[in-house]
Amino acid sequence: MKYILLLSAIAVAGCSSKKTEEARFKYSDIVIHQQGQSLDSGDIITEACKEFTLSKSSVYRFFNQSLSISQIELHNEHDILPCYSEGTLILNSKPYTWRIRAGGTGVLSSNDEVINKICSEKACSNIPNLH
Amino acid sequence: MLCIFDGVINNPKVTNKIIPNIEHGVLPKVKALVLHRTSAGSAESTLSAWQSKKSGAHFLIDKSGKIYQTASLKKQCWHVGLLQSRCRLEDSCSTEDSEFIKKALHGSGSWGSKFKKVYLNEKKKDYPDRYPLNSDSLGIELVGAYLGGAGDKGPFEKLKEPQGKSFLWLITELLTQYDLSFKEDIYAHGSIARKKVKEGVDAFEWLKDNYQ
Repeated sequence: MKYILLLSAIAVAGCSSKKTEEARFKYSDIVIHQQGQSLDSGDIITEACKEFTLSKSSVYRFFNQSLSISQIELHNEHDILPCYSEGTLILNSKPYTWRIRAGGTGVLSSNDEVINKICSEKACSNIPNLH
Repeated sequence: MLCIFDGVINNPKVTNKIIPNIEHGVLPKVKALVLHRTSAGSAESTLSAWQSKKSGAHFLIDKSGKIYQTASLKKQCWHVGLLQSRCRLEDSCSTEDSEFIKKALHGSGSWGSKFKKVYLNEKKKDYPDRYPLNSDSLGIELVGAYLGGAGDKGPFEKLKEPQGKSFLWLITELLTQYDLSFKEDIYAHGSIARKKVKEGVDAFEWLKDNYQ
């Protein structure tokens, strides 16, 4: 009985913490401005990057399921693949521009803030064409 | 000429701060130097991050000019990452190479695996037909934050005067030590690998302006 109560408590705590996260970050008004862009100017890469397209629901999922990381973590631990899509969204009533790169990294930026994001293959397995 | 004992420089200008977990296997021959920026504002934050990570570089040069040697010159560091195709960037690919890259990038698999295929194809080549790998280069990190905001093509902090002075000294010594060419054997990380585009580029430009 004691164990059942303990497990129930853990489950409830887990659910409420997830709810809190979702409540803390409210994304809306997602607009996609550019799809299939490339950091490289070479033909082979720009052509390949045209295949990197995301739907609005994928963008929504990416930001909901990704983790925020520091600039130094992004720099030290992740490659920056050249293909990306970008646009704008509203986060907690504040406008941001967003960029999502092939490979699962992304960034949100406003006038006074830059938030780097990472979404692992596991966490974003429901987003086609991201990784 | 540098005084080196068992891969560690013995010189008052270099502080021994070897971090064993960033050393990986034998570095048989140094053929090139790769210039990095830390994307952090202080040496301490980078040294602290390296303590618990596997990737890092052989040297870290602080804004104060203090040079830390963080890995033995006989050991490889994981500092290069996902290498780009040299022949593609220099427009000198054979038909076979071009076809391979096209096929890899338009083929099946994840985006990461597509770019990894290109990297693995490069790995088969000998330097200097490809850019330097971890197995034949030393990594030099210069402390400096990324100033490009959300973009990937932005600049890094300019080198501070004492930092530049130490950088110039270290590069000059390493070029002599390993009989490397200033023009041929130094690379900015952002120019050869999948990283922020200007990583090491401005530092390399500074070096070109100041190297005698």
